Amino acid sequence: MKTLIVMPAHNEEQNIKEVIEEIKKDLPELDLLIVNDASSDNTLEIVKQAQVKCITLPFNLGYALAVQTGIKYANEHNYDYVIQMDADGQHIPSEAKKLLKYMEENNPDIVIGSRFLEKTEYKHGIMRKLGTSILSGLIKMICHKNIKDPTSGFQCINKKSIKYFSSMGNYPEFPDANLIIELLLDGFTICEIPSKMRERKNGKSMHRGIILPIKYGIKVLYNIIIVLLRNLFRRKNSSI
Amino acid sequence: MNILFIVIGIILIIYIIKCVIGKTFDMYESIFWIIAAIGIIILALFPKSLDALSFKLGISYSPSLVFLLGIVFLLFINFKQSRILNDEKQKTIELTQELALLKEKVEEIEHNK
Repeated sequence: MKTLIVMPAHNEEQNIKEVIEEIKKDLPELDLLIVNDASSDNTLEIVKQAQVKCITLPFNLGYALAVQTGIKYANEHNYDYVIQMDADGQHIPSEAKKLLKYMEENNPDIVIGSRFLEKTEYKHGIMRKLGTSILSGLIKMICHKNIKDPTSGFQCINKKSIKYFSSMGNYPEFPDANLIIELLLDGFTICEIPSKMRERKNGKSMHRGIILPIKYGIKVLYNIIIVLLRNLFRRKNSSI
Repeated sequence: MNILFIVIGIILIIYIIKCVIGKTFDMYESIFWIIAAIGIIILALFPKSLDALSFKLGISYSPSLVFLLGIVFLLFINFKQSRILNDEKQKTIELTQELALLKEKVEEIEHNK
């Protein structure tokens, strides 16, 4: 099966070389695509030196849209699976094999690598833990599905999801619990398997500080409300 | 009758039409501003209609109605602009992604030459 690793990268010069080398060593059979999200540091030069496929966005679109660009590439090049991985070294390449294996054996639409299904060394702050629990609880309440790590960006998606994501307009800024709820309500099958992850090696997280997580929470919750309303109107229209 | 407001309304209409003719302002977008200018002229021609309308709407101080109508109009225009902005943003995102994908394709073709 043709599989592509999509890795969005924005100013990751301190991490990306090591991450690429690890992927080349542990997953030599898979194609790797770096989506350089208009980095202002040496990320692009490092990627070019490593001779890896790279798409460079002319200006910064943000994490989610960089991922979507990679998925569009996968759709154009007829890939069967896409594995999303972060360029900060959090996601362990050898763990991606587990996602892929699970995908090939069980054929769900999305497999999420979860930090919380089994006890791992990953350190999660109290506020983050609380946020994750709330989002997880919302998914359980709305879709009756247990997703312990709805904010995990370590995912493997199949062709159906590749097509869905690449044609999606107004792609959410944070494709987390809101997108999971939308997909579950649309009849997609989403599974979670335990996955080890590391702490980010260098650089800044996109959920750092106090204001950014609050903004994130408001946007995701608002998005969930919109998804529910959209679903409600769609059901009403289809029943007429 | 308030001559000043009639003149302001007429100048506004002339200016908007001039912009539309000169293609510096979209024809459909200009309609709302023309309507607003006509509204100013009507209110200036028949100032008592404002009092009658305020009375009917239960507004005791009629100039408040002018402010209310102005705010509603500006909110409407603002909301419309927000929607247009979002539309343009989506188009920019899609074009950006398309450009990046095409650039990669061109580079690959050149590399394989």
